Amino acid sequence: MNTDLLIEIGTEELPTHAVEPLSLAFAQTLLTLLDQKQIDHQLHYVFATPRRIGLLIKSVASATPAQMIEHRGPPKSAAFNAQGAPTPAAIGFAQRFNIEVQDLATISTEKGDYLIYHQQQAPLATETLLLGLIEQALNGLPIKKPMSWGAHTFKFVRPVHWALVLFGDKIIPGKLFEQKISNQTRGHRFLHNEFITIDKPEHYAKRLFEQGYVVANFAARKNLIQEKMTALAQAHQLHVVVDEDLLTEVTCLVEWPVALLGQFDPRFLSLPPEVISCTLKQHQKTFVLVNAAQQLQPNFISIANIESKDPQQVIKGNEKVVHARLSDAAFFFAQDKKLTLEQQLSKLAKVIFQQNLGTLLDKSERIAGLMPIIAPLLKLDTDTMKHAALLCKADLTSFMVNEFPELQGIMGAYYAHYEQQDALIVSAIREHYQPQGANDTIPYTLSGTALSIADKIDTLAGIFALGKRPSGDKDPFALKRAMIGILRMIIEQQLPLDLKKLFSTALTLQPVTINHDAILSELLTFAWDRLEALLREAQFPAGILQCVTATGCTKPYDMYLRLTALKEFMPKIEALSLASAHKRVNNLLAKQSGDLKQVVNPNLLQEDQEKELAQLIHKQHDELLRLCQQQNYAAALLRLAELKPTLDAFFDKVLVLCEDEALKQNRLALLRQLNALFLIMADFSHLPVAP
Amino acid sequence: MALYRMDLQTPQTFQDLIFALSHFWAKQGCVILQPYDMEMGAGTFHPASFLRAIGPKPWSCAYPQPCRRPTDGRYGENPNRAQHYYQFQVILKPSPLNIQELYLDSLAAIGIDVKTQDIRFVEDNWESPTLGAWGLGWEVWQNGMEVSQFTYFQQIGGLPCHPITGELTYGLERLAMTLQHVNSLYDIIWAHTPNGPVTYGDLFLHNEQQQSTFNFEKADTTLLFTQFEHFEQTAAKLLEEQLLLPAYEHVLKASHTFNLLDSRHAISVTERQRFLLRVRKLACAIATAYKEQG
Repeated sequence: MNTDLLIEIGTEELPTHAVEPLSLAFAQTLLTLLDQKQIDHQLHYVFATPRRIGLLIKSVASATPAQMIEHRGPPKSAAFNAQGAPTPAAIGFAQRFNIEVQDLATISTEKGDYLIYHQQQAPLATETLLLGLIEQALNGLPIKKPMSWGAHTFKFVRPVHWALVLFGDKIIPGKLFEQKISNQTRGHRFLHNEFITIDKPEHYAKRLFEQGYVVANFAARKNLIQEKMTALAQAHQLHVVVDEDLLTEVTCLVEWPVALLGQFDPRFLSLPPEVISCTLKQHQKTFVLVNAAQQLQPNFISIANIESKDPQQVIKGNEKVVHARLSDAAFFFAQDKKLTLEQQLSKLAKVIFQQNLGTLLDKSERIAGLMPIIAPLLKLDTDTMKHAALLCKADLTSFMVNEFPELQGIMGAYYAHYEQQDALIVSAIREHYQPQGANDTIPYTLSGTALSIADKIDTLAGIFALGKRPSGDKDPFALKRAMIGILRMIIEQQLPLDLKKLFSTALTLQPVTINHDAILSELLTFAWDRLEALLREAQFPAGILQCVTATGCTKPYDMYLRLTALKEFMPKIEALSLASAHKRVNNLLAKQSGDLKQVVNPNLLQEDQEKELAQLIHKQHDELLRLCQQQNYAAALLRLAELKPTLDAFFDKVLVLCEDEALKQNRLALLRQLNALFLIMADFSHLPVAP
Repeated sequence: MALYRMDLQTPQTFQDLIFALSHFWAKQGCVILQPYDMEMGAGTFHPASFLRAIGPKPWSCAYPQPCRRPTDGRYGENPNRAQHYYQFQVILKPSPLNIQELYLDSLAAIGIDVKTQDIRFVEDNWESPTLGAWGLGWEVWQNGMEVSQFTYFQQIGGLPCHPITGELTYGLERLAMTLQHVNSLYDIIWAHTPNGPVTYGDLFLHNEQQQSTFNFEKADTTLLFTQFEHFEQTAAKLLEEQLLLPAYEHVLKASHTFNLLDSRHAISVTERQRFLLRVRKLACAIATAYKEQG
């Protein structure tokens, strides 16, 4: 017979980051434990509020199934003596189950016959197992900072005040965290501060909602908040800006959400909208509102946890705090504007970027130092970009960024705009921290892109120069993210930048003595690992990257174009031919040593097939160079594909490692030329095609 | 369960607020202490909190404590922030299971109706690098304003706590501003007297102006550095001689000296960490010795 199971752990207010994850983890662990015990069950529902971790599982089996357990005893050969009487080993095995040796069965295996016993295991009642399973699930929760309270020795996420475990209509006896298990939950801390008896598990959410002023289901509460905000905003011809993270956080802070509309002094609208949003979101956990034209309005929505006897008092209280916070922000903004970004630079000279890599001013100067090799290729004015580089970190010492670190760059742009810097400089400063993560957009403007690339190149070069490259999962400087950002910007914006040149220059600018070539090579390896990951995401075949790294090309966009052409080319029959030819060439050449002949002597070419190959290589060489310089790699591949019949014939008929040393050396020289020809485009020997 | 009943006599003045809280917690069995007579950044530095939280002995007390945070000075021009302000501190060891209910009852006792006001417990974990201490808990919000801090100490002076001490810290000015419906802390009525009302500003505005000037502009950094060294050495020496209470007072002096140097921007970011560690090392050594003495 199956019955519903309800579990609720009542706690003091949980940390917001724990509310939903802990409830989900509890459900998942307990369900796994039930499955391990083969206790059948149906759907489950997770409840999560600031004061409760809850779980309802429908139709849980009342017992584990009956089971047959096979125990293996001694081998038959050791179980009976020569007379056929049981040995002590056999008797001992039988005694374990309180039976006689003759009641045991035998089993034949590859290793011989063994005594076995089939033990019938009776079903275990779920209700006797539940407490243990629940304890096990609770103890296994991923609590970031477990705490103790009172004089207890156990720990949990927050002190526990009640425990409800109801299986059908039966209370599971026992204690959890010293709290006697009951069928009673509690209502809202202020609106219904009383016990509520739950008679059936399925009534839980309904009772809490109807009597307790608690919306126990997380998603339902989240939706309710959103609906209430939308309705309230609409009633005032406004639109609420729903920040998903904030909505989740607020859902974790309330059991009975009530949306209240507050106002602030419109004069604060002269502050940058990002500042207002940050202030309201972070400090007050309130939502901002816009009009139909998406302009920020002097209003906010606060989600209270109470149907107040006098909502005006709650609104007035929130307005007062918002006013104080915005006054602070306005004060900071005004203070910051008293100094120009250039004047702020002297403060940057006192902030260490990284030990042994100098101050943030030093870093800014190094970024500027990279501009001569970046700006012209992006058709930007070098001096303007150098100036942007010098100013880009100046906002880090501003009051505002000190208060809201995530406004770095954004505030700098506002200050640059305020002091009438070039528009290119403003956008460069604003965008130069982008992209912040895998899903973040790259800078929209070229000046932002140039500055972002230079900043990240310098960070990578500097940290690698200190020998602090990421290892395993440890990447405290977020260098992987930085490298992926650089590659994405170069490829998506189709920039002709050369990573080797950028890193090489950046390394020479670092204030530490290093083995330049070794670190440069480490940086490039690191770059290609990240590029490999990007290619995998873009459905490129694994291993294809080596085809282009082997050519010595270090321009990511150019590499990307070659790879795209190769990917298209791969299914063709000629691809296989070129790949196997290039592999053979490499094998033959790898075995050679000593003074290698580079030039082919036409007079030593004997066979038609080698003459033809030599002619074709000669004919194709310049054409291929031209096509590759135009980055017309599809056409280049078509040209190379034309080699197929000649190549096939050559390897079919011509013996390269022949007896005659002069002929042999000449043929090897021919292969070297062929190799060089291939490498103008790619190393086909790495092309991941099956022979 | 507690009923959060409204007390009929809600405090009208700042001093009434202190009386009401003292009275409430005295009824809960707390020893009502008076402020410690030394500069400190928070009520937690009071030996009745820091030292008494160490070891197994039960202990409950409550006291108002003036706090000094030189960097928070605003020359008396900011309505919410000052370099000298008051906390009301409650220490309950071991923390009773109904500690939140007691706290909410105390709000009722000072005239805060929890069925009208939006009271929230928002996670805020406390850490004091100088005291080698941390705890878990909340800041308590009233209509979006933080009015109290609520902490379960987990570690003090580098030592794990057992039993756990619960600490409640009321921001008296903020509570008074809400209760009295004023927008500046200087407008708080401290007391009604036959000669008329005495405001917080009457008592402390000049102090804020002058102390801010001292903290930010006049404090002699050369002397402060010397004093820091001296307090540190004295604390170490007293610790060796097992004079733990005077040793701890010298840690308090060193800590305040550091705060003054900080407000003079005399300590760079990297040095800052080193100074904090020096204070912390002493605080932890004293805590260990205190525990051993029992």
